[in-house]
Amino acid sequence: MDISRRNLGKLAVAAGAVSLFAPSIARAAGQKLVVVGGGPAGATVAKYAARGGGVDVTLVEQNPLHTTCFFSNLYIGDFWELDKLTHGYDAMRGHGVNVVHQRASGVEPGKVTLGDGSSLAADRIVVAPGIDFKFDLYEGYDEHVAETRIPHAYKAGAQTQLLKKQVEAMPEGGTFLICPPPNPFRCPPGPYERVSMVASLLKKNNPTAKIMILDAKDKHSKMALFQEAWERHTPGMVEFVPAEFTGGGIASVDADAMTVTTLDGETFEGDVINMIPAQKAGQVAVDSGLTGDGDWAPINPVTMESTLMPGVHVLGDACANGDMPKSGFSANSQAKVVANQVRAMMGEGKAFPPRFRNTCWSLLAAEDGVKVGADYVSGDDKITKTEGFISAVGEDAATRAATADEAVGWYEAITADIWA
Amino acid sequence: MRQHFTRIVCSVAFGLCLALPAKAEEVTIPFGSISLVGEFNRAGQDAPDTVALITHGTLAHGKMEVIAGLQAALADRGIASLAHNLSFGIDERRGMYHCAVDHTHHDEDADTEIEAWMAWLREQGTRQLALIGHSRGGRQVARVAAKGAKADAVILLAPATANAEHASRAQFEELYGEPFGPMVEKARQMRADASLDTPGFLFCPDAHVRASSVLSYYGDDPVGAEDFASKITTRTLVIAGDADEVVPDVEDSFYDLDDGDRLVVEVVEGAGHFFLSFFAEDAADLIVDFLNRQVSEDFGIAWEEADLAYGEYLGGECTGCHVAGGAGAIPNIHGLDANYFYSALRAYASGKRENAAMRSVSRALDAEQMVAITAFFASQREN
Repeated sequence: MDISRRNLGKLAVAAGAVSLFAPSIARAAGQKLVVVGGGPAGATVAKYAARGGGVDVTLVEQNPLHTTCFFSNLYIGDFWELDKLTHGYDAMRGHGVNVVHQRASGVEPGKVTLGDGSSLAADRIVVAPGIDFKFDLYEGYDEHVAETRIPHAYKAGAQTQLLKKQVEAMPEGGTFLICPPPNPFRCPPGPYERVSMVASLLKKNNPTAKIMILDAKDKHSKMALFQEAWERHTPGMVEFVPAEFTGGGIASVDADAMTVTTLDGETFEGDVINMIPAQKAGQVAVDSGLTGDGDWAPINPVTMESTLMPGVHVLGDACANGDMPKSGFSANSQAKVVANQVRAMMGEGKAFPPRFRNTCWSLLAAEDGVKVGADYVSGDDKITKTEGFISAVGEDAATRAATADEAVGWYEAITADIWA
Repeated sequence: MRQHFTRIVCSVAFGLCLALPAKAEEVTIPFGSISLVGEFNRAGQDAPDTVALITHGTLAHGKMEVIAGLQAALADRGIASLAHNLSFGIDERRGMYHCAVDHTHHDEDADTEIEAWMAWLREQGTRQLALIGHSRGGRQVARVAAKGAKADAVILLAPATANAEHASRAQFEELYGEPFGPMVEKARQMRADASLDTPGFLFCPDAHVRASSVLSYYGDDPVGAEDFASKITTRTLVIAGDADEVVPDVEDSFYDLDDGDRLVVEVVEGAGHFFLSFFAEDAADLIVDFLNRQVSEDFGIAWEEADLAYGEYLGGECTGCHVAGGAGAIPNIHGLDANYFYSALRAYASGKRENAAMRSVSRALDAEQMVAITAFFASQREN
């Protein structure tokens, strides 16, 4: 805490220097911020950085619509409709953000290169490309297999629909195999909420079916809560195979045989396989050198500025975000801190102390919701957790129903906060 | 979860909703084999945190002037309300009771209908539920509350007292040409579900009435709202009009119960029994003050001096979950009264109000930050 205050002091001095020596220039020129990626992190930072005026904000996003990964499991479980996961960028333009629907192919200090070869000049850049997958770790698995036979469905959209269709078409008494990735990865409770949602669907349509979790880990988020819920809602349906017995995950995938082989050499057959590969920062961050030798972009825990490339901030799932989980909530929280910091650096307003927060709701079954959350501060060299909470095993039904209904309220609020 | 989808669709368009003046919408809920009808004025909020449930007087309805005026005045002050029509056994009943219709209802039927609406409002996410009753409705509300219904506040507007009931029985002969005693005697000797012709019933002359209904309204010695109020544990506000000719003794009948804390009597000068026009505003002011006192303290903080820019920044932690207007189980926090908002934050921090996420949020704020955040959201009143 002391350290972060000291860092802030320095920041305030730096920001003050800009406004003392070049206030008119800063304002008249309208410093340029280019944001790469229109997901929860990028869209929030664009909207909040534009708020109050004085900063010229451009958002670079390849797709005209964003489908949220959060709540896409609820679509699989029949609790949410697909079109309610989808959000556009019209409101963003209303906030004064210039939206460019192109792929960003490269980032360097002061410049973002676009897919068509043109480039955008920037005083500061925010890079928020989300995740990509380490397909090369798995023999027999690539993007083509994922799109056609064995979806990861870990970027919401066509693969989410494919997975739901596959589960619905599963033979009676068939097996659903899910292979959660090693840490760190997007949405730590995500694969397990997916198990609950698939279980909920199977309970209705195919109650003798089985679900097998071949995990890369021995423990996972909200583990006791999920396991208690599986036993209560669908006794005997779900089997969890931890890293101790998989050897730490999956070695290879055979889409023709519909099998996966674990690192321990054991082969499992599934009627539907949901293979979620190990993850790394989105490609543009890797290609631009923002991740260095690692999978995630190292950052300053106060400003979230890259420690490898000055003037470039990396946030959301793509950054090495310390104690924070990779989640839409975290991304939205980080984006508000960065918008404030960047505006202050550009001479617009003052920098306030960074405050980060995350809450993840998971639906276990109809009217059975749980949550986990924490707050975070900027530590010496990383974002550090201060205090957290988690739903208790054995809570009463009214609490669980209220928590499930909170999640619905949260979805409305966060998507409005990001894209509306 | 499914039941919330309609509300979500509504809140998506919230930006528009806010710009419109607060208007009531009709709500129906199933009740046994029939449906009950109410007018819900959300005061511009999608999922209001606080709702007043209003019960009308004898054979009346929720859109009568006293009720509609009160609803509008409360909405102007940011308080949502639901004015329900007692069914009197009639499916989707609207407007005044038609005296030509046979009377099969009982005074106590109101209690289960009030409870049904309370349950429905709780399902909608109402956290603070106030019960308001006018005239006979005031007495019914007092009875429901005395039986232990879980309300957060009780407001009795010109409630029917024992004296008022005595007076109306005394008028029976004057109105209908014969005393009510023989009608009651006849009813006592009949089967409960048989009907009899009466010279008059409530305000209906020559009414056809079920025996059990006659006994329900005239069978026992009058019990006044004040008799029930003495058994209410919820904080109660009684509002009297000093020009009320229908129930002229409200102030006197509640005088002994007024302890300045659990039960408070307020008198509106010049108001008659129906609190018309400006008197509805006066009543609404008293109600809002009472509700705010109920759930919040005045901390004596100069909210206007708070750092709104800091509050807006800190408020970024809130808007990730709280959409303007509220949605699902997460209530609206935009435009809330500052003392109420500040009290709620402190209550979460101290554990008086329980929610793990709110406990975490509130405990991470120091006093200065709480003030800034409160002042910012209090300033976000858009209509």
